[in-house]
Amino acid sequence: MAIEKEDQYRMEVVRAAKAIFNKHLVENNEGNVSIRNGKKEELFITPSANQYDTLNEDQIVHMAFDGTPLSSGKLPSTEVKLHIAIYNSRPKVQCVIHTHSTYASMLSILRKGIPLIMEEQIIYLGGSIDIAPYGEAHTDEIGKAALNALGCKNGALLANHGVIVCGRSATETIKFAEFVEKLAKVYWGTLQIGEPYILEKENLDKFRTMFKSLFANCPRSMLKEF
Amino acid sequence: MSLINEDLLRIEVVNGAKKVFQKGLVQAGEGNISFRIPNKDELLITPTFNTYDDFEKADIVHMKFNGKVLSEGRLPSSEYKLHVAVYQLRPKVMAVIHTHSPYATIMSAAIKKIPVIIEEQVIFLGGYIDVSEFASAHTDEFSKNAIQALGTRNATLMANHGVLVCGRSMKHAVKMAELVEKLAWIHYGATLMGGTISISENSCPMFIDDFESKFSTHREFTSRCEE
Repeated sequence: MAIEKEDQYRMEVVRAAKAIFNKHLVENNEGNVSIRNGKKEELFITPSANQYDTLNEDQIVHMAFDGTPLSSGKLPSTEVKLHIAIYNSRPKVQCVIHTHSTYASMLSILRKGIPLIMEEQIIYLGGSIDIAPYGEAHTDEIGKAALNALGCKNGALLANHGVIVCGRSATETIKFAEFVEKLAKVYWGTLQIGEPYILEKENLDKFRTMFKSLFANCPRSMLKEF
Repeated sequence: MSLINEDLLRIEVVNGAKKVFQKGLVQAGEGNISFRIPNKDELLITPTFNTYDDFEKADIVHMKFNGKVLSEGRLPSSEYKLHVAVYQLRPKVMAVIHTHSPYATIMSAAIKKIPVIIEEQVIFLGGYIDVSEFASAHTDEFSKNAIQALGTRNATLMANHGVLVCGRSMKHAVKMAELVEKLAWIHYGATLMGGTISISENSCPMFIDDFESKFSTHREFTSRCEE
């Protein structure tokens, strides 16, 4: 029974990885996808040097949050600490995705976050998308910096390092990754031809309520000040 | 309305929705597509949180203009009021589509109108593409602003909210949603290269008759090309 469940998680990682690859949010060797093993302090993650086009369940790496490998075969994504930092601080999160989607990567290199330009941005992500300061990849710092930039929201940019999103399911996390790229493209485009109209001053409480009830995954205590 | 006919109309909505999805004009959870039920104050509309790749005709919501849902299952798109406002104002409209297509959404977030830059724009859409004043989505004010920006035409941008098009058929509406994105892309590109040169003054009147006879959905006596 337990084995079957684990097989399902592996399949879910593969499904999400193929989805972001097919939506052109990552290329081979870029980005990573993980799923938490139910309520355990373990995750299933795409392997290091991941080839999305030939990825299958056997290549998914099972490991404990303390770093102990629980599967043999491939090595885990080198960004596994970033994923674990999010799972540790957010018990509701079931899926974490990191992409290098093009427009979001451009903004991440310019170290520009995405201000509030569309109302859906609040519903799905919680509001503006902030940028985490540069932290060397694969270190504990990048995890802390990412959590800081996430605040109580579901997506952040990582300086010179693309996008991080987390969600209560793989399906919604894929959606968030796709949506961050869309917003990045729209924001980037408005900057080329003028100035975006930014929504901060509007009355947007009903969208915040939707975010809190439908998609928020940070600890409840953080939502009080949201 | 017999069940068989309603089934055919549902297929119209599914086909329209799949087309705008395949053309990249919407992504999962974005936009909405509806079809009027002839001679009734009712419509069929895509559900809220619509996922275009796996949805089917059973997911389409049948509802009255007053908001009452007549079908079981999914909840309607939260933008249904916008669709109803267009159907009520324009009896000729059979299909309404709202997208977040990328370049048009850029224009809408930068609050930039699209002047008449190619002739087909007049034939299909009736002239320039305006941007409605910002109002919070799902409100009556949001619908009012969109209707105002539509004027006598078939398409408008909505501030920070993408595109609205309406047509005499689903085929027309899909074509218009596609054309708005194309025009937004061209206008965007031309703006970067030095600025779009509008053709309104010369070419617009020549094509207004085509628009009025084949594609217009408004109730005014005649369209105006200019702002």
